[in-house]
This record gives sequence, structure tokens and C-alpha cells, in this order.
Amino acid sequence: MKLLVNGSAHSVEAPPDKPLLWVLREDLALAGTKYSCGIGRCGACTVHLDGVAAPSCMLPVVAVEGLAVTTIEGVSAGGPMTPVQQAWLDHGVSQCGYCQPGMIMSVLSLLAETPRPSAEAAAARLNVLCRCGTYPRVRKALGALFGP
Amino acid sequence: MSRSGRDGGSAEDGVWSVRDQTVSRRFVLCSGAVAGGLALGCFGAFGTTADGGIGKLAGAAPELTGRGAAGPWAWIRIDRDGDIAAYSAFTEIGQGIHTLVATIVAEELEVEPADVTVLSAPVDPRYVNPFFGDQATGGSTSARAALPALQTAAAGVRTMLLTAAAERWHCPPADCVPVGGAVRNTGTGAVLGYGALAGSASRLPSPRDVAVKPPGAWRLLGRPQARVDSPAKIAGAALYGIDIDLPGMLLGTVINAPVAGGRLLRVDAASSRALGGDAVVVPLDDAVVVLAGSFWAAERAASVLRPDWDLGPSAGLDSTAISARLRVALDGSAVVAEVTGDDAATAARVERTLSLDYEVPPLAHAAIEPPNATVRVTEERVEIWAPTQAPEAARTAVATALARPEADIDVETTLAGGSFGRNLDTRVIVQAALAARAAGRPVKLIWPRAQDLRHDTYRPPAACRIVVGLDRDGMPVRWEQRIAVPDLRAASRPFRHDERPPADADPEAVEGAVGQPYDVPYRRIDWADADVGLPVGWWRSVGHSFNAWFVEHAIDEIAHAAGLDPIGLRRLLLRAAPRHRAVLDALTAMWPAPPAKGRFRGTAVHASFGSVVAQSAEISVKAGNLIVHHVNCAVDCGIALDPDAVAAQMQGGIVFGLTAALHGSVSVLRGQVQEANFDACRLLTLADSPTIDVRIVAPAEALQNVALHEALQGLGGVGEAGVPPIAPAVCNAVLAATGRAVRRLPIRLP
Repeated sequence: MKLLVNGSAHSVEAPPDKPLLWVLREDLALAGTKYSCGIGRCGACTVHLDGVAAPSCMLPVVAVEGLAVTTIEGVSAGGPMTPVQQAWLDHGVSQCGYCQPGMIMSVLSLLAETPRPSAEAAAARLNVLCRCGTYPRVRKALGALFGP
Repeated sequence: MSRSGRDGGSAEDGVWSVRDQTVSRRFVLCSGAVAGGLALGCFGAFGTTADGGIGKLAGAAPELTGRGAAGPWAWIRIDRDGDIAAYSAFTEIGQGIHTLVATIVAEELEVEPADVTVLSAPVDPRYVNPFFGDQATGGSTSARAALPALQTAAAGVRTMLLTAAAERWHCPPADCVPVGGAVRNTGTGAVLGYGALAGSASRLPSPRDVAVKPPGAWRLLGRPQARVDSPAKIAGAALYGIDIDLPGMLLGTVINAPVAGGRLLRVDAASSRALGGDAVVVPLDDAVVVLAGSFWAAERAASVLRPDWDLGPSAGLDSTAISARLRVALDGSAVVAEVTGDDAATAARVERTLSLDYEVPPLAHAAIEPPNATVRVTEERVEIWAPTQAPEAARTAVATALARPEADIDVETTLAGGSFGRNLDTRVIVQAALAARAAGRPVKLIWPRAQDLRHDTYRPPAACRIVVGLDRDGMPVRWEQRIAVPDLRAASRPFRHDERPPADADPEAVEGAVGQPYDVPYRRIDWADADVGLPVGWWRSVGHSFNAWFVEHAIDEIAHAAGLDPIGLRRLLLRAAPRHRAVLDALTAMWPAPPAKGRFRGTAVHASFGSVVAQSAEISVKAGNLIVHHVNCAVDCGIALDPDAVAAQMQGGIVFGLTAALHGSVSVLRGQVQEANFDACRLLTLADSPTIDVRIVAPAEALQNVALHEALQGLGGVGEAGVPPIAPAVCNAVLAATGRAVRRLPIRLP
């Protein structure tokens, strides 16, 4: 199977119904995308498919053939940090950090929308669960990124 | 870790004390050479502080010979290229302890926190948490336990580097000053990097007299620091337990006995092979581990297995029965935990009695990283990688399970994706070890989410009755409180049908109920052990998580019944508790104006883990829907070593406690926990979370005039202290809004 991940073509030997999450983690050694709920509910496994955020834990890998897959490792590879990551640092968001790759992928996708949603609309649509309770800082970071 | 050179001066090392004896910190500093660099350790023998803050002595006096002399005991290491590493005996579970460890070391070595690499300490008696006598992370102790030893070790390293430089330059030691990872000669302007000095410093005797910086000279501590682990975490580069990857490793999933206390009778592995995979089925006493080349393949193979179980003694248990057991315990025999005041004299003053019943359900930890462990078993070693809070207990458990000496077992503690007490449970590590031995290959075992939520060590369910006697002014003169909750001292053995009732109260069952700050003339706290048939464990803020709700909601119920202002009543009753009153005052100052129409506020104040925290929640109720709009929080944690980390822990604690108050419940049917994932086990979302403001009561400026021992004595934990007040604050707001108290959590409005 041919996959395009983070701008590189990969040839992967995996069952077609193996979820993308586990192909990324186990076959491509891209462990930044996290497993948590396995039912597409918590958002820890969020990646971009052609630039749009989607959970990867239930998505058969065969479904992403021909799509550009981007993981957290690919958003700023070798280059400067994305504005979202910078805002996360500026507002000291991360605690345990486990949900943060998924959160950052989701916010990057929202930020790329035209027209850009308001901070409040972005917060309402950011469904990544954070058990550490970083939400107050996420709100501040969203405020800085999306404006009032 | 390779060793070269001689062990520096260990034989001559005596016991060295901080000059300020009131802290009664007694440390042994011990240095050695490590690969041309310097390693320095500092351990043991914590005394007690004046307020009893630090408890047990950390075992016997450390041995200074053998494996430990210059090896894995080091707190700080400087390599010959100048790299600085500090060992954290505490697991980074999100609370920021790695950043604090780096900050403490950077403070004394005059570098920046980002210059210090934080490594996880191996299991060793020298890294024992002095609060527990065990190497573990919990009880909001990490900062309090880390500060003294690391400060001393780091100051020792600085002293040795300065001495080595003075010897090199044949100059007075006073001419040598640390600057940016180097020592500068103020006389000549010459500069030598720490790396260049580390080798010769390692050959010096360990210092007997080092000066730890007083708080007034702190440059980093007491000020907000950027977390050292954030850059890796936001880049997806941070390594959690679940990310460990070993050559030849198998991935595993588990099916635990559906009912806690159940046993595996048999499992037919043939069905999983029918899938055509390469799955390996490992039967254990109370679980089946399934291994394959990928976690997904292991999960698929496990999904077709139909193991036969003996479901054990809890097979008939359900949530109603758990509640019934709590109520039976509440009415049964109990142990007195605390009695103060004059029973007869106060009884004569009672004009009116309130009897207030409360109940809380069991709760899951629901850390976002599920439990996992990676183990490699060879003839020589057993190597464990896990996001554990209890590496020492894990080592002991694996040694027992594999019948291997503890000395053969290495535990590498990884970053944990949350934890909140979850990873004090070592079962996943033992299962991974047994599976690795059975398979003859390294194994990474991950508990899928359903196994995590259905086989947690739950926050115990608890019931409480508070009987309050009010005098003719409506003031409480008697407070009789009985709490029924399982004995957490028996958390490792949840099924104990044959044991006599405990003779004394479980301190964690009554924490937050005993030692109340309120001046009530007669108070009696009883504890009734309740065997609820469910495995229980330590959940962020433990007994405080329910006792703060019982006490603080009751205070508002009293105020409501007596027609008094709840905050005014607290102020009156806190006449002998100035610290609580100051925190309450700071909190009320955050909200000078009354709430808008349709908005209601509730307040609670609670001391836990050495800190006092007050919180106010502003809510509205619309069509039976409770919305928490905003929370204010004031905290006195003594010296805030990192104000930003304190604020983060308060915010996180509030969100954690709100999840419990609004959604938290684990339900049991036919012995089995029903909630299998985050659809049924609801966590607060960003959209539902309130805005939160945090005020730290003791400002950083206060550091200027504080002696080191005072700073240490006043230090409170913050990882858990933000959780307890939020449930009563919200329930008190509900009482203000609806006139009705909340009898059980989670809150369900009529």
C-alpha cells in the first residue's frame, strides 16, 4: 500500500483494515499521534487528511490512499514552529501533554478555515478531551490565534 | 552508567546539616567521577519540620560503598562536555515536577532550567520519598520532597566546581563565581566551563559545608518558568510509556476477569488462530493477555476469545447494593477518629438539629494515556519501562510474580499521560512481565480504554451523615459526622471477608473531616469501614475529594437553615483559623460586585496537602441545565515555587473536580463496571469548562524576607489541593439558586 505521510511516500505492508493510527505508530514509527479511546471520541489521535483534521483510530488505512496525511511530526518538520505551537508555548498550555498533539492538529485545521472562525466558535468545535484541565489556557491561546 | 576514576571522598563524608537547624535536614553528600565528569548525590535522613510536614526518616543511613557509591544514586551529574543532568525521583505526570527539578538545580548552578536535562531516577533506597518511606509519586509531595535534597546536591556541585577552579587558578575561592555554566575568575577574567572542571571536581572530597541560596537570592524559584518538557510535548516528540519500542517486541492487549476478584477457568486459544494471525494467548490467574505483532492485531484476536471465568464473590454486585452497603456501614459499628469539646455542655445548648446525609459514587481516573508497560525478560535482567507512579512497588510486584530477586530488575519511569493516582496500580506491569516471560520476547502491554475504565482502582464510594446542633442564634455548637468508606490501607487487597474491623480510623478516609478549621464547641468524627466489593485506590485528592464536599456543603446548609450568609458564617467560625480567613478574604476580593440577575454563586474553602484553597463558582440554571460560568480560586501554598505551575494545578484541579461533580460516576451491574469509554464516562469538554481566575495569596515579594527553613516549612502541595473545594462551591451555588441542597454526586437537578 502506498501512503503519503508528511510529504513523503511510504510503502506499507499492513492489512487494509488496520486503523491509520496504528499504521502511523507501529509501521511508520510516528508515535506523536496518540491512542486513548479507540472510538474516535477523545481526539488524541487527530491527524490531517488533505489538511482537514480527523481522528485516525478507527479509520482503515486503505481509506487514506491517495490522501495527504499529516501528523504532528509533519507540521513543523525542520522548520519554524507553527503559530499554534507558539501560542501553546506562550500560554503555557501543556501539562501531561498527551492530548496536545491531537489538540494542536485540530486547532491548525480550524485556523486554516476560510472564513476563520471566532475564538469562541473554535472553542466550541475543539472536542479534544484533556484530563489535566488545560482548558482555561487553551481558551487564552485560542483568543490569541483567532482574535475576539 | 559507566564509571571511571575513584569514588570521591566517600569514606570521609560525614553527616552534613543545613546551617539552619530548625529544618533538621540532615544529608550525606557523596560525590564520584562518572565518565570523566562529576556526579553528586545527596540523600536520606529527612527530619521533621516544625509543623510535621516531612514525616518518616528515609530508611537507614545510606551506605557509601558498592554499587551506590558513584553510580545510579546521583541526583546531579555534570559530564565533561558540560552537560548537566538531574535525576528526578518523581514521575512527571503533568504536574510539572521535571520543570521544578530543573529549576531547583539551575538556581544553584546559575544556569537556566532548559540547560538541565531531567532523567528519571532508578529504583534505589536513596530516592525514597521521605513522606512515604517508599519511592513513589503522590500525595502532592514531589515539590516538598525534591526541594531540600536537590538544592543541597546542586549547591554541593557548585561548591566543588568553584573549589576545583580555585585550585586550578591558585586563587582564593572567593574570586571564583559561577556564570552561565562556567566559573569566572573575577581577578583575572579567566573562564572555565563546568565540563572542563568536572573531572577535577570529582576528585575533591565531597563538601561538608555548602550554602544553599536563601529565598531572597532566588533568581528562578518563586517566578514563573517555561516548562522544560513543553517543546517536545507540542512537537509530538515526548516519549510516554506507550511510545516505548524495543527490537523484536510483541504488542499486547488484555481481557481482565469481568468482575473484580474473578478467576480465569480456561481459554481456548484456537479461536483467535482461526483469524489467521500470529496471536499468542497468555492465560494468567485473573486475565488473558493476547500478544501479536501489532496492538490492533492483538485486539482483533482478543475480540474473538470467549474465556471461561469464575466470576468470584462480587458477581452479584450492583450500584444499588454498593449504596446499600454504605448505608449499612453508616448505621453499623464505627471507629472514633476525632473528638473535641464538651459533649454534655454543648448538648444542653442545642435548640435545633439538622441531619444531613450525603453520598458519592465510585470514580474512575480516566487518564488520557491508558495503562501500559513494556518489559524485557532475560536470564540476566528484567527491564521495565512504564509511566508508573510507584516504581518501587512495581519492582517488588514483578520480583514476586517472576520469582526473581529485586536486584535483577530495572525500572525506567517514563513520562505519564496523566495519572491522578491511576498508575499507583501496578497490575499492568506485572501482566506485561508475565507475558514477556511466557512469550520469550519483549512485550508492550496496553490496556484498551474499556479495560482501563472497567478495571480501575476506583475512588471509593462514600456515604456521610452530619448531625449538627444549632444554638438559639443558629450557630453550630455540635458537629457529629460519620463517614462510611472503604479502608484505603487495604487498597491492595480489596476482598477481605474474614478480617476483624480495624481498630483505628483510616487517616485517608477521614482526611479533610478531622482537623476542621471551624470553631464548633463539640465535634466528633467517626469512620465506618465499608467493604463495597470494588477495588479502590488513590484518586486525585483521595479522602479530601469527598470530605471537603461533605463539610463545605453542610456549612452552607447550616447557613441556609439559620438564615445566615454562608461566607459570613464561615468568617465567624474561622475565628481561630487566620490562614483560612485570609484565603477566603482574598477570594471574596476577586468578586467585588454581586452576580448579575439569574447568576448564583457558591463558595468553599478547604485545606489539603499543606495548602489552603478557596473557590467560588458562578452558575446559572436554565431548564434544569446547570451551567458553570466562572470560577475564582485563591490559594495559599506557602511559597509558590513556580506561580505559573501553581495556577496551572489549580485550574486543572478545578476542571478535574468539576468533571466529578457534574458527570462523575461509575455504575456496576452484575459485578461489572458499565462505563467502557468516554461516551459513557463523560469528561468535561472545553466548551463546557468555565473561565477560571487564580490568585496566589503569598506573593513572590514575600520571599525577600523569608529564611530558607521558613520557606520550606510553609510549603504546601498543589497537585491535588485544587480539586476538593470545587464540588461544594458548585453545590453551594445550586443551593443558592434552587434552595435545595445536593444529597449525592454527580449533581442531578430535578
